[in-house]
Amino acid sequence: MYPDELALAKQNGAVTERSILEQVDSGIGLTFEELFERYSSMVSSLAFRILGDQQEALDVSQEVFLTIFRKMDSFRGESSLKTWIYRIAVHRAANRFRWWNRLRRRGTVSLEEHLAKNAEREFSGDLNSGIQSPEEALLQEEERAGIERLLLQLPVQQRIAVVMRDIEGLSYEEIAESMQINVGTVKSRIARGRETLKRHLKGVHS
Amino acid sequence: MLCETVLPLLSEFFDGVLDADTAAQVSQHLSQCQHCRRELDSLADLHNRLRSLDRMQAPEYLRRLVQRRIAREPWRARVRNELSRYWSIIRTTEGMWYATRVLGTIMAAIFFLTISSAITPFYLHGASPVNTTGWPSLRAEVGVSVLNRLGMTQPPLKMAGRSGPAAINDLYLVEYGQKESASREAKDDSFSVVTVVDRSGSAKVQSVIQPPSDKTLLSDFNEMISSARCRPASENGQAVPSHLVLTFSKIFVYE
Repeated sequence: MYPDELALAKQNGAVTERSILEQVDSGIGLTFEELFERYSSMVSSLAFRILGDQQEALDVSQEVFLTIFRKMDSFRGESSLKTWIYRIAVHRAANRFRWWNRLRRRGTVSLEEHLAKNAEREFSGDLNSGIQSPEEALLQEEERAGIERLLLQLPVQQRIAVVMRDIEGLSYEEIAESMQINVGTVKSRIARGRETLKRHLKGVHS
Repeated sequence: MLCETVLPLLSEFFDGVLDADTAAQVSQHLSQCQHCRRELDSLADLHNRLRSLDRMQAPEYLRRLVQRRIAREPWRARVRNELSRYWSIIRTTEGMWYATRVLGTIMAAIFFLTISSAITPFYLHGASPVNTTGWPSLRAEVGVSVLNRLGMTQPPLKMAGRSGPAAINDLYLVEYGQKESASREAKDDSFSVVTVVDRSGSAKVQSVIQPPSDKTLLSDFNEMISSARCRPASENGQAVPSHLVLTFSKIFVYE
């Protein structure tokens, strides 16, 4: 790291994330484990919310970590490590989504059909915790499935913005950096996405 | 503020990213408008529903898959990664970074000095390797000089033999041309002779290659050459006998 970069990193409190990557850069396998440990769920979760399919999400997650491994040297600490990883994940997941769309346009396969066949949930282990009755659990499960379906109907760019804001809890600036768009566009995508979801939810309930 | 103005701002208001003035106006409107309040509530409800969705946990086998794929990276990628890693070490180690910069600067300086020395004009380096005159030949000499400086050509071989030819003093030739006898007859004429110049510089006609029509021209030339003093030819610094082939023409000029 250049001396001025080091000073800036210390000033921004970004030295923890950066130093981890430096160790990874130095080829210490254990630190790659640490990196993976810290960010694998974040990447998988985002990919799953963008693509709606667990296997696809895991496949994209592999690609994301492979890309991180290959491009570690090009990371200069200009953005936070988290935003950098999010950027790679968003890019990869959006690409995969476009690939599915191309297949659908050719009439080969529909993502919705694929999801209907393959979308099995294996990570809702703690759903029953705190739920009083099976009826309530079923109701909550239906609600969850409903909102997930609605989310998948959003245009992909709006979906990414809403997921990053409402599920991942990123700030507008972080979203803008991850999606490589300006903050104004982030605001409008989130607002339009939420508006569509709200409208559909009202329709479902009425 | 009207509802039409407030509704598009609700998303930003909910996230708290509106500027203070606009947020205050929206807040004031909300306190008076039940419809917009309901919209804000439904926005909060949506947010809570999204927030409550499960986060996918990466399964254990994902780590193994990634590690396996990294291990199967093609050798080119591995070499690239290794180089990147070394460069990263240099870049991130302050001392090595400055050392590399200094080394790079020195190498660049050596390179430019070599080039600069090689392309310096030939006349600054002493004798020209090409003994010709005129601008076209000067340009050629610059090229030859550059190549020589770069060590790309052999230096020109020096003539190991004669350093200069025999020559007759120009003054004798001028005097011969102005002799009365040479212009006696108004008619063009010419002759060629072989002249021998000995070590002392005295010359005499050895044979006539092409005789003149007017024989007096030849006898006048014989007289001139025997009284002339020639510069003898030299070989390795020593005067040696040599031959001069001379051709003279008498051209009649009408006045």
